[in-house]
Amino acid sequence: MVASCAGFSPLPPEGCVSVCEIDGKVAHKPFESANPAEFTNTVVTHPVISLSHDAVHLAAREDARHVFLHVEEKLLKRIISTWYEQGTVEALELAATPNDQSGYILQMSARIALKAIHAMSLVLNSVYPHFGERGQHLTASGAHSRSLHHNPVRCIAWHPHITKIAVAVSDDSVRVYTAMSPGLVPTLRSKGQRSVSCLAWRPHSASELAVGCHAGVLVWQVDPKSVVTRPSISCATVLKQPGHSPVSSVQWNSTGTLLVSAATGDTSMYIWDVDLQESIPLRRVGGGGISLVSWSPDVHKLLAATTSVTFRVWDSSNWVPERWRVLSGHVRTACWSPCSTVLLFTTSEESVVYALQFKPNCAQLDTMFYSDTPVSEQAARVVINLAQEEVGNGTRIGGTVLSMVWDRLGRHLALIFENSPLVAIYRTDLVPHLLITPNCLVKGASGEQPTTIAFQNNFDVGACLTIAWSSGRIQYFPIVYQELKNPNQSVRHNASMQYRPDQSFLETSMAPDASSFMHSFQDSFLSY
Amino acid sequence: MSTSTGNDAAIKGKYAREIFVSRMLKAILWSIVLQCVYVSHVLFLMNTDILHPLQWIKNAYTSISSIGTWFYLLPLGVMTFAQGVLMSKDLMTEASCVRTRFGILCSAFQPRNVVMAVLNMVFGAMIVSYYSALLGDETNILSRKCGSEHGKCLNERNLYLLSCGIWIGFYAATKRQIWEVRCVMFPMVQQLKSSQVKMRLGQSVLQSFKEAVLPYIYFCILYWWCGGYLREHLSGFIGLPIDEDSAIPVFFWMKPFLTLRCLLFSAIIILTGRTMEMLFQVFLTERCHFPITDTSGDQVTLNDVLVSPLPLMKRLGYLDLLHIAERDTARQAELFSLSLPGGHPHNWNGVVTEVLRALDSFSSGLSVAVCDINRASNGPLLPSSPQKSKKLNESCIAPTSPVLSSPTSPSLRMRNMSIYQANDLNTSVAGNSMLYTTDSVQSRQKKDLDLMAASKQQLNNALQWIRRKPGINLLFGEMEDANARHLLLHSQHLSWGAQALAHLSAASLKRDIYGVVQKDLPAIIKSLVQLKNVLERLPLHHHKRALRPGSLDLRLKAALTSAVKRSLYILCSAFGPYLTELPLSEDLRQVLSNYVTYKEG
Repeated sequence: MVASCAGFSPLPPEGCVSVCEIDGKVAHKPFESANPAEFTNTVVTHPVISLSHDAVHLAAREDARHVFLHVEEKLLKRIISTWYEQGTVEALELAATPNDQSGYILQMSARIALKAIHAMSLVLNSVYPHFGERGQHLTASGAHSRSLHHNPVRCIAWHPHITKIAVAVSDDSVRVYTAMSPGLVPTLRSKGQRSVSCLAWRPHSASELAVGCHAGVLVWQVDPKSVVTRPSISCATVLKQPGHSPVSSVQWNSTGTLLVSAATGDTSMYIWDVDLQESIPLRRVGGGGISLVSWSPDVHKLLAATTSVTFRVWDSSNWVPERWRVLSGHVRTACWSPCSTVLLFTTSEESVVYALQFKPNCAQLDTMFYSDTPVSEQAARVVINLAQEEVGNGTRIGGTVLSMVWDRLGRHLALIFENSPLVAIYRTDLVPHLLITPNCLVKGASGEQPTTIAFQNNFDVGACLTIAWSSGRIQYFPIVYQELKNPNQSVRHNASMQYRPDQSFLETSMAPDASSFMHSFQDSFLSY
Repeated sequence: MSTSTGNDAAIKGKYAREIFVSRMLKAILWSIVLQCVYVSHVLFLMNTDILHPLQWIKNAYTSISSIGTWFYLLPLGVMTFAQGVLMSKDLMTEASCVRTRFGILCSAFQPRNVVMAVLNMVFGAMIVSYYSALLGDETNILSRKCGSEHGKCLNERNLYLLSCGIWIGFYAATKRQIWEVRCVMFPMVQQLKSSQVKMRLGQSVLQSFKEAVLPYIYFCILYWWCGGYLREHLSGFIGLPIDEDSAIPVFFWMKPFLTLRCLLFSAIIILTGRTMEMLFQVFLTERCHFPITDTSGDQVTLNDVLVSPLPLMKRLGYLDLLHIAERDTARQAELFSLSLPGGHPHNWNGVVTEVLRALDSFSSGLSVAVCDINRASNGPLLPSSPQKSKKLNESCIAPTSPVLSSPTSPSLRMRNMSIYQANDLNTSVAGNSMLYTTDSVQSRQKKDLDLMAASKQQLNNALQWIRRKPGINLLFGEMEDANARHLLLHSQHLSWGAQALAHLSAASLKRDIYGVVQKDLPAIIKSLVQLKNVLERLPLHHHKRALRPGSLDLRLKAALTSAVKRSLYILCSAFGPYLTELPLSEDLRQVLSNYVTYKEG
């Protein structure tokens, strides 16, 4: 059965925002008094993050030079300084511009050189479509958040084991917030860290954070015992390769041994051994630059999506890829099920979520029946139809997906869209087969749009969706099941909770076995 | 019974050796095949005719398919085979630690290395003559027709090319023996062999051309300096006058075609050596699946490989163990199973005993190396500084203490510390006993010393004094960090061992139905903590700001430290709630508490 955008719980009334979901009941409160602590104390210790535009010191952009007064200089000096600051092409363009000081020969030579460069780049672009694009446009094409430079928050990443969140801010700094020390916020910033596009915490480590940026990857070591709020670049390992820029996606494997990085301007993705500072390029002909990489939780497979219709699923035992193609656009966002048997992905041009089913490993045979047909002979199937629908007050939901995340238990799938101010949360069941049903919608304050989303990894009583809004506010949206609560985490009942339309069904079918479901997942898929 | 066990071990040792030898032979044969590929490419390029592409292909095909091309390749193949066999001998055994620069120089002149250098020189000459023949020259003949009374003269151009080939062969061999680290590094991911070769070949070709420039410049300088002597002596030796037409002028390096040809030949000689090294790496590091139990009686099991005397086989065993721990749940179950009959966890016991022994032995070795470094950095102690001496001794002993201690008995650990202190001082500071002992000890010893011992002591002191002289110290002085660096260079498999134990222990929570792993948990934790402590005390660092990565030993240290910490995190994540139930010392509990709360950076 294909899920759709219909069947969500009704939107909160005007002026109210979604706060949390407790046992299937979504709580709404007015924006000014919205505080999940009224309903549950599961996020009480979480750091409060709000990064307004004023709090973010924007990095100097190209147009910063316009603030200086114009000074008349000799042409040769101007050409040299342009070449030094901006590059050869810009210097040639300056020389080719008709000018009193430039002679005819210089102009003609510069024009001929420019034409030659353009001809060469045309040839190169026909072979490598994304090599002609540089700078912010290329970074943005690989990023999985809304418009990189207009929102205070670019991306967020939860630590895999503790309540620690890294936030990449539009001033190219990364701030690390910890529940244990809310007042101490290390800010990671360096000269070479421009256009940050992705973050990844190293598993089985307290302090290592990989930051993908225009120049490459910086692996910061943020000592949890240190009280330094501005660690120097000596705390970072810089991983660079010629042509591997701008980095659009980085991810560690679940054992924390290897890091993979992808760049939209490079047809190779690199597997890094960060400690040995060694890398191995993995490349196959066709597809252009790589925009997204994602390890399966069991480290057997690695998805590599290119900037064209091609994407590949690499088998990590011998590093041979399976080649796949989407109908149009490119794979924009993807996530693996906790058991690594299902891969969900969306494309940049279609309003659907596709699913690819993989054969489980021997140890994961929790399901009884699996097709013997090789994955390469199967086709990806549509599991959610995201055709736009109106959900009240003229607000629409659906369309092409900007970002999609799945919680670590495989129970909730959250999506944000290019043209919708809402966050859609679906409930997912993997046993006996993939079943997706609409759960609830999360609405922000008036004028707010979700920029990027992530699930907290160490949330034991359900799932905690973290949403970065365009205003710079970061919201925690806990989805709590009382059956799974810790002794020190409790739920407070409140009159403002709303029942979902299909709550009666959920009450009877889900609530009694929800805990058993969750426990079975924890037993089956969560190892250590 | 014991005879049959001995026979089994011998048979298994033979099988392990066979695996190793077969891989090396494959590498050597593929190296010869790649030689043929290089020849084909060179011939194809040399027949370039852009205006007549069909003719170009036809000519290239004719050259490649001619019998002469392949006939001359036979001696090259034989030489490649001989080189490969000699190089493989280096990989069969682990090089011992050389602590002085003089020792490094001496080791470079071992008989095998000398033979290797000679082989490389002959190989260089053969490459030059073979490729020159392909290009239409007659480089193998040092004489040419001329107008002299003999009718023949010495062809200096050919002499120049041949001597260049010989020099490059010598340079490449010497550089490899003295400067390059001879240890097989396993790749981080196991790609197909063809993919690895394809990836590395392109890099090797470019690298060879880059590396050819410097030795060629050296050769130019050498030839400019003593080329005249060579020419005259050779001319006198073979009784041929020097041909003025083919004479190399003083500014011979300005002859572009000669220079290009020399650079091409140099690059091919270097490339051949690199290709063989690369193929050894690719073939020898291919992952092997070893069975956990021997079902047929002649299989090499994982436990057999872990205790193998061949270092490479041992590493393959550790790599397979990590693979089992991370991915192979079927073999994990086999590892956790009990023997039939008897019901003993022999499989697990064999693995854990060997890995822990290796980790503990490494920790002990490294702690001794740390002591050496600390002593050297603190300088020789004067007899009048007992406090400093005491402090230093304590600092040297501390990391080794957990090796001999029981996790539950701190008192035993303290007693063992004193035992170690005595041993350590006896072994490591024997040469400097006068400097390290206190006044009272000194006076007591002096009374006991007879005239002979006193004179011996004086001789030692004199030797020490001479050794401290700048030039002599550089050559003969011991490099205090040599031992630590040597240990780190051969530690890649320990990272795998530590992580494998951690993953297996964590997996045992669900899959070890007989509970065979948990009895070893305190020992595993103790070994890992001890190794972490020693690594943290090791004063070898490199600046992360440096754009170039540090030397291999420093990077391996970082990798091992990271692997040990990761292993402790894995264990603490899995067993966090149960750590209080384990019989661990208070120190260990304190260390682990940082890992449970993720506060260890």
